Amino acid sequence: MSVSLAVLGGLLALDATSVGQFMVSRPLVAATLAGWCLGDPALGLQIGAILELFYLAGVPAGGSRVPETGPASVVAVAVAVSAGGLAGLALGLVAGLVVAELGGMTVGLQRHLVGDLFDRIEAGSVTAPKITGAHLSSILLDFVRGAAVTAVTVVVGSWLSGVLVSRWPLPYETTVALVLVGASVHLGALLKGFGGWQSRRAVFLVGLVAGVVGAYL
Amino acid sequence: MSVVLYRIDERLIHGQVVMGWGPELEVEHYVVVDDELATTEWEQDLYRLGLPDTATADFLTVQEARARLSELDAASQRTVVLTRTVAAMNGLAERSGLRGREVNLGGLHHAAGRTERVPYVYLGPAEVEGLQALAAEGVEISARDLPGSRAVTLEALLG
Amino acid sequence: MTNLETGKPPGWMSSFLRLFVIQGSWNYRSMLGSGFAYCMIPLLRRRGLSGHELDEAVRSHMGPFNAHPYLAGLVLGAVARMEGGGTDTQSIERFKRAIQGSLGGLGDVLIWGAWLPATLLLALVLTWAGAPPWIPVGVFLIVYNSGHLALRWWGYSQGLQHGKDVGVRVRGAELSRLSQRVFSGGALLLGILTGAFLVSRFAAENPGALWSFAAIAAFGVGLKFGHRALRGTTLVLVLVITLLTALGNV
Repeated sequence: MSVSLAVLGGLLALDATSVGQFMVSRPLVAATLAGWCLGDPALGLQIGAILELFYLAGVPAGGSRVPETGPASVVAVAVAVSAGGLAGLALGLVAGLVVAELGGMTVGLQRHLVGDLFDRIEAGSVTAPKITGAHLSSILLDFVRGAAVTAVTVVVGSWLSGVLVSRWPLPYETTVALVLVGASVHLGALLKGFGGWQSRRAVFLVGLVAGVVGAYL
Repeated sequence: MSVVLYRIDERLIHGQVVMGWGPELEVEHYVVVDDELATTEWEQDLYRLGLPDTATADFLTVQEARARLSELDAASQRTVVLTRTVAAMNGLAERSGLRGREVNLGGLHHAAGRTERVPYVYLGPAEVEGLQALAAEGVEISARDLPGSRAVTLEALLG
Repeated sequence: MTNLETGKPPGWMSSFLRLFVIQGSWNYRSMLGSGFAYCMIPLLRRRGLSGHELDEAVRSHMGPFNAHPYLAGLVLGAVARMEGGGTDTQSIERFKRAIQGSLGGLGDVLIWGAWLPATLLLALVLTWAGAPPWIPVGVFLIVYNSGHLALRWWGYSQGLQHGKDVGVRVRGAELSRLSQRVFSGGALLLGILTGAFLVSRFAAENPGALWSFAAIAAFGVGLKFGHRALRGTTLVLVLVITLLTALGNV
């Protein structure tokens, strides 16, 4: 099972930057896929939806370093499944948030290594086959990196959560409320990104009323 | 004060600036200081492409920009001043034009003779010298690509 | 031969497909520079270049380059058009240097800033409404990617067709006004989601109104500080959950 999770993590890592950018690597999609692999797509979607709230407003602008959500979403679901229950939800979320940062760091490392590779080629003689080879090798490296990040953190995360699982003190409603308070900062930041309170309050408030009414019905 | 950011960034008007800093600082106007660009309109058009509806841009030579620094500061428009090189910022700082102000290093990329200080800032001897001259003019310098990232001080960059 | 109307040179389709992996060798030295050269290879080959000539041409395209991945094709197409028309290397370099930042900005705002979060919000609203997993995921992937693929195709064709003049054409397309419309749609969906959360998760009985106030305050913090508040929030949440777990249910 962990092999297929690692492969999934590698493929999701590719989607974010190297190949396609179809956004299969977004938490909402990636976690649901991972949940499907682990036999619980509904749990996958639940975790994916919560994690997604934490990455909606932090978009990759101009190639700056960003958290890597694909492998992290896989790990979040794997941890949640292995720990189980409510603690699984909380610990899975933490695993996702932490692994996304760690993953982002390995992306940075990859970009250095690839830079060095092309530097060496440019110092010698540049040929079309060399460039093709180096480009495709970089893609392969990205896959291996994503798979490795997933494999290592699934193992470590599942073990850690196994140790911690019995200790989660909060009931369901409070756990979700705690997480959603954190997510609210991100939602506020997203509204700022959409143009801020001044320019978007009308549509936002219309939506808010619709959401409140819809939730009551 | 109305110049809300002085930034050295080879890419000038681009994603990190327009999308990262723009909303954060509510920027209305960009002043690009570059002797070469100030005279080529087809290139200016390409740079202007990236602006949102809510912002405008001027392209000035170093000399023109230095003469208008205090005017920009007095205006109500929230302005970002961008240069492609450390040397152009040095030009602006002449005669204490930037004393007490902060200059942001946002993007100087790999080139022959430059070494990496942070992933988005590579410096060669000319850049180091220029930054030290800026600091000697009483300018506060730090590197930061986006408003949300950590600022790296000049000491840390040169250390 | 190049089709004069559409500007499509031989090899254009292979290059278009390669553009899906242009970020494959993203690096801090040249960013997409090496990927750009990789994507140019089919066009250069089909122009009859081989051996040393081909290698030199590939090298000339390896300079630092960055753009939004979906719009990189616009630059590649324009460069192909310019080269086909005999434009010199230096002008092509200046063209690439000037257009990349703007395109990166336009693409970042339109796609990363507007289209992606708006389509994700749509999926989140569907998730909250209790749709089975494949519906929000399927709706997001289809809606998001129809915009994604349309933009890739449009950009590449515009570049091939207009070459150096593409700058003027893109402004005509008013991409940034499109972003504003998507922003409005996104803000509406954001309102719906927030309203639904307020009622369903923070309703008076359980877990209590205190959490509602905390959530509204948190929203305000995000609205005021934007991106600057995000990493700190994540850190605090991770610490709180870790601490709660470590202290345990004593």
